Amino acid sequence: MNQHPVLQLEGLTKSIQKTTVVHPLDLQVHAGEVFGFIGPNGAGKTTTIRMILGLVKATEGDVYIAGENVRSNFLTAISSVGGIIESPEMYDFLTGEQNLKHYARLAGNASANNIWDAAERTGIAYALKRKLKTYSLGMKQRLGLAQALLHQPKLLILDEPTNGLDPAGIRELRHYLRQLAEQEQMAVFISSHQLSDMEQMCDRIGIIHQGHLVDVQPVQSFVQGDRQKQVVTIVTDQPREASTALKPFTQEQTAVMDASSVRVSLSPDDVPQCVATLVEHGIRIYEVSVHHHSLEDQFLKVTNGGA
Amino acid sequence: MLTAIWKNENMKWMHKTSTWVIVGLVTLMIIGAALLGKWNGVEEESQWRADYEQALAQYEEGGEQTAASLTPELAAEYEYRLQENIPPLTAYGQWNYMDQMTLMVSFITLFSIIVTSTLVAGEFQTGSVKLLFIRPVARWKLLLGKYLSGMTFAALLTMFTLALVYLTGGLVFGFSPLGAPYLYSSEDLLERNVAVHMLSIFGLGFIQTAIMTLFAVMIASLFRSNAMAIGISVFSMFFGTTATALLAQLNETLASYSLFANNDLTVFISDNVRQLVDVSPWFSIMVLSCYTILFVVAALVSFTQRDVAI
Repeated sequence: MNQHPVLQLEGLTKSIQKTTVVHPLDLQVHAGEVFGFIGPNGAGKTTTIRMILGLVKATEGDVYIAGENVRSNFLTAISSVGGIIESPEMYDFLTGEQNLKHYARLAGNASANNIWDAAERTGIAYALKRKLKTYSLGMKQRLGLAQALLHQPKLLILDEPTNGLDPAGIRELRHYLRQLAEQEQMAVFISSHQLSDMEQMCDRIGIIHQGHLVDVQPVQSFVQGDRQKQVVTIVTDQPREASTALKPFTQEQTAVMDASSVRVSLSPDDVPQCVATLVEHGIRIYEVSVHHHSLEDQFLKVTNGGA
Repeated sequence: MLTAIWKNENMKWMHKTSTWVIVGLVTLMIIGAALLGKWNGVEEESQWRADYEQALAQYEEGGEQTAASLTPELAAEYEYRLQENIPPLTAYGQWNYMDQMTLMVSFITLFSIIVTSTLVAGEFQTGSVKLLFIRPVARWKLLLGKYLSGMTFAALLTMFTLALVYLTGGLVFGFSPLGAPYLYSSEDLLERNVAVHMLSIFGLGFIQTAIMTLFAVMIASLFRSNAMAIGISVFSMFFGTTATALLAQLNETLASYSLFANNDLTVFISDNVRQLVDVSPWFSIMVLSCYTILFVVAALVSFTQRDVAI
């Protein structure tokens, strides 16, 4: 991983009239990292992305891309970025190839090789001779990704890239983005509301809510949650006996029971000892499972908690 | 980089169906007008000498003044034409038709406004401006490239119109001599080659097209709406002249600074068009330069400085 972040936000703020849409936001994304930016609608995701790309001027603070300030050195900074903002709106009266040529010319690299290479990589080369108006949303997403990769950017910014992709397409995109990050050391910044996709795609997650960056953590800590306590479900036909036997481990907490299982909150280190105790008490165990928090649980917890 | 932008914008208007509908309409208008003229029995006035001599004879007899009788200026012009053998344009079928088709300049302006406004405001309406603005290209260059590309379309359309009008006129009314003289000032009795005259009319008309298109680009950049840009520009084009004429009756000095009192430079080289307000060519050029600077500044500030939030 590089020392210097590819994307650095310093106190980035946007106010429209007297309303602050994005509160001072600090964030760093490094080369080789896939960063997920999630938040409910109207949380300030799109405004933040637009400030990064220079489409919207920041009221306060700065954006640095590969060390260049977007405000004062836009042309150099933006030449390291490829992006899709919302649905990739291109020119539907032109063919896919003409669209890519259009963007390649503006990056100063319009060789046919470059265009076809980008299209091959994103799996849209087969439709390049067709007009964009015949494309499905999924095909437009692929062409959108191709235009973002034309100039080998250091930073890839994708706003809702899974929109319109079928499950196979999403899996392919996830695989491809991981490859870009790991093999080409690209920094990838994705916003999405498809939490399950983000969980599998990203290294780190930032949650934005009402214009505040509420939480930034590696995706593992979001998913595993609190390392001290985990919910363990034990499937058994003797839930009452099991609950009594586990008293020493659960302390004052009460176990939750139903006809065929008991659920207790345990430290992960205690799990083997608990199982041994239950076996000693002659309780038949059919299944022991640890419940992982999904990103969605965590997301809802953070955003509904009035953060 | 400007060349790359220009090529891109050319690719955009070239691949739009509406562009080819415009070319089709222009073709229809040109051929239609010629056929309609032929059908209505417009013919070369080959016996213009006899007509002029008769009119002059009547004028010299004195007699009572009727509506049909000549003014002293016209009488002098007729005499000069007879003496120098300079036939009126109506004596040449092709040139007469071409002279009437100089009104195509207004249509070229209209179509130039439509195509160029779409290049500017269309990007905001479809949202494609977002992917356009995140390129390592200054926004002012993008706007300049769009304007130049729109003017390339207007220039090609002007050349196409000129060629088609010449050919259609020749084929329908018969080809007239290229070296025919054209009397462009009946007051001072000055003449020039008729072919040069036609080229000059379309050339000066192109300046009007360029300025009105710039006006449309400014509106497109300010409102980011194609309908607004086309609507306001076309409305101004047709009613600006009337408004200026009305203003001239109230305050002639004020009216002389109006865009529409100055943007039609063809009045300075032809005899049959009256100026709205009496201004000199240099005054017009100065006023037009001021308007150009105003439009360029307003368009650039709006295009380069405002946030893109669509």
